[in-house]
Amino acid sequence: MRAATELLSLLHTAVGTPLWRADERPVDEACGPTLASGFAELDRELPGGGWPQGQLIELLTDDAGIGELSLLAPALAQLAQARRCTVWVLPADTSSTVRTASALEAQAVPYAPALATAGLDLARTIFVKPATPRENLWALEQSLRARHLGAVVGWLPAGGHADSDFRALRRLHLLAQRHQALAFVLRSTHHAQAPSPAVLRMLLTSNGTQLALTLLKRRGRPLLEPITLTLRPAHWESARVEAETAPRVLPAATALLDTQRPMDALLT
Amino acid sequence: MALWLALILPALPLQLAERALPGIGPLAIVEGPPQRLNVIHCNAPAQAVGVVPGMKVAAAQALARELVALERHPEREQAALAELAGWAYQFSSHVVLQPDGLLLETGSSERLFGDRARLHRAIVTGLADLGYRAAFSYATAPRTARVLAHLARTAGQAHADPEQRAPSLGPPPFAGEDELHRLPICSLEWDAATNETLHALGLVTIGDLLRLPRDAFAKRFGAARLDDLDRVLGVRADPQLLYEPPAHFHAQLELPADISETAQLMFPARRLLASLEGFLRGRNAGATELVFSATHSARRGAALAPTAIMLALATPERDARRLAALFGERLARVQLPAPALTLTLTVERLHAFSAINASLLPPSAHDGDVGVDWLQLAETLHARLGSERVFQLQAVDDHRPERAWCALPITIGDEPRTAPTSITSTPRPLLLLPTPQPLPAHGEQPLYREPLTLVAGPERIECGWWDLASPAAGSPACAVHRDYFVARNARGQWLWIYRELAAPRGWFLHGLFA
Repeated sequence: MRAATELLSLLHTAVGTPLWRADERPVDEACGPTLASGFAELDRELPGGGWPQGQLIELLTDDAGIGELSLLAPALAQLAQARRCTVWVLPADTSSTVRTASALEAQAVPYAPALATAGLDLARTIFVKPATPRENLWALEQSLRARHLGAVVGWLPAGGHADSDFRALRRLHLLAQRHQALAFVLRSTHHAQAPSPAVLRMLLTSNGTQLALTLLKRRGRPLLEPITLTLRPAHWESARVEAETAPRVLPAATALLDTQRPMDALLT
Repeated sequence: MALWLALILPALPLQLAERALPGIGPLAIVEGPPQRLNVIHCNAPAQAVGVVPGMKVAAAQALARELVALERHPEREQAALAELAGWAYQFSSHVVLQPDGLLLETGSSERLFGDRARLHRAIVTGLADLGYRAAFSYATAPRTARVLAHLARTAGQAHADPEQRAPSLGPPPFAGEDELHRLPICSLEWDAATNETLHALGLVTIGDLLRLPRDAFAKRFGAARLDDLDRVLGVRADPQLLYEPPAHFHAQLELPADISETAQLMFPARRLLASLEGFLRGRNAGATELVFSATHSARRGAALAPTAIMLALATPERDARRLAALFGERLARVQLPAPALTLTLTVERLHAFSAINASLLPPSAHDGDVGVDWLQLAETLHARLGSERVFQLQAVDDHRPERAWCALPITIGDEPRTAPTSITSTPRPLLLLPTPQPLPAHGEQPLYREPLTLVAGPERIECGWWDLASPAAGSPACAVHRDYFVARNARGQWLWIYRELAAPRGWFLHGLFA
């Protein structure tokens, strides 16, 4: 270790110019334009300090509801501020009659009041609900061809062959590079080991209350330990409520009952 | 200076069949009483095997077994010429319909297109896009132009074929008077008997006629013939009945071969859209609703309803290539119940067209020319997937969660949609299940994949009792009586669940805090 430090100082004096070390932060200038993710912990680790624009970003997650969309919401809200448009390509209809939890979660639609509260511009957002996985890829491709688009959020079909998946992703990646849109694709964690052309790959898991991001791939040196983000209101973290066994009568209803008493008195 | 362009479409019935589909085999247009059908026109593949005009159809079919014989329909030719006149209206406001061609006054509009050569090129390439071949000629008087075009037509098809003629040649120079004098009498298109009489008199050229004494000529052949000669020379006024474009667009293509695959409809659709573009340019308009309709032959005696293919656009559009691309996407959702016989395009309403760029931002160098605009994207998605699958969302003022949103068809515009301020202060999930999912419960503890911990709530939502409409199957509930909770399981899924207040007090999963 001492030898290494000595070698470094020697190099410093020999080369004279500032030396970039592979374990330092990645060089910001090397990557293209980025958009701040809105989470300081994450931006610190992303090359360029934010989501790379015009590059495919792959988010691997199995369970809906761990905060995968809350992670994107600040960036999408920023784009809404800039009056940029967004396309969401929702999971394709599943033909299988097997009622698994993931099939149920794939049916869920983005909920307009929550999106509006998160700062998204619904008037500039198009939602696509494809019928087949093929339409899913087609819609993503078409969206990435559009100029001036702010972001594309798309769920990729769960299972094809690894090769065909790679080819499809490669096409999306090439299309994403034409413009400056944020291109998020959500996939199952089964694909974590599969090769991918995306420049940023994240495995999204939950440690119970927080969202844990494992960067499988990024420009620059790899990051070994996951980043944890707190997405929920603080009072939810520790709170624990009990469901009552019997429905309580609402205070308002009690007040209503109370007001009837003087009436009764008048009548009698 | 007035300059008239005469267009003559030779073998129009044949052209109508040939322009509808690419690469058709031997084809003949036949006419006559049913027992004695004669070939009047035939295309190059038919000529190659020896079919010639004037032949009996039976003889022709003996030469080429796969010969397609189509009967002539003069009324369709007239409709096609009227459609062509509508297309030509973009080049000149003075368009005259003739039995086998058109007359355009191009002298006053050539500056609009740059110069005479450019206008000519636009007309020639436009005609090629429509699939027409024409013989054409320019002259300062309409009758003169017509005579010269007739000569060009008889002089040879090579001269008349716009694809073989390089469009860059520019307009053919128009003739001087002495050239007119040398023209044969037949180019006047007088009736055969007159032509024969003149020929017997030893008169061959128009110059020969002009050398005759005028009053004697009028006495022998009628004053009308003399007037016509004067019009040919351009010394007599020749008022024309001008074409007026109709209020809506309607064009039909007869398909000479049965088409059973939707992809094959692209070719005739491109022809129709090219015609539509010219028509809309002439009217300075755009279309937002295009209705294609394919008719089918009756199957087992029962007539089949035509297949209608609608194309809806967000803003008025007339660019044929863009419309064709949209139509191609739309075709992916079309199934033909039987082979198609005709393809019709109708545009009922024309809209004012403003030729601004759909995007006001200058295209950056990075974009190249591959970028599609936002508007086009919306239309492409809509054309291919349909309005149920491409939508926008809107928040609605309602306390019932399933009624607090709605899906809208896409409207693209800058007018801000009135976004209702959230009427609830508690967080709402980013994903909502269309129908709440019953959850099993272990005693008082609901389960979703794993036991759930309730972390916030209850939020009582009890409303909608006034909504008396009976809930249809699948529609959101009218009256809700629920206690909503935020729950979390050991996998880290944050859920929005509720408990019915009514008797069985079941638990339901309604949303995911994604």
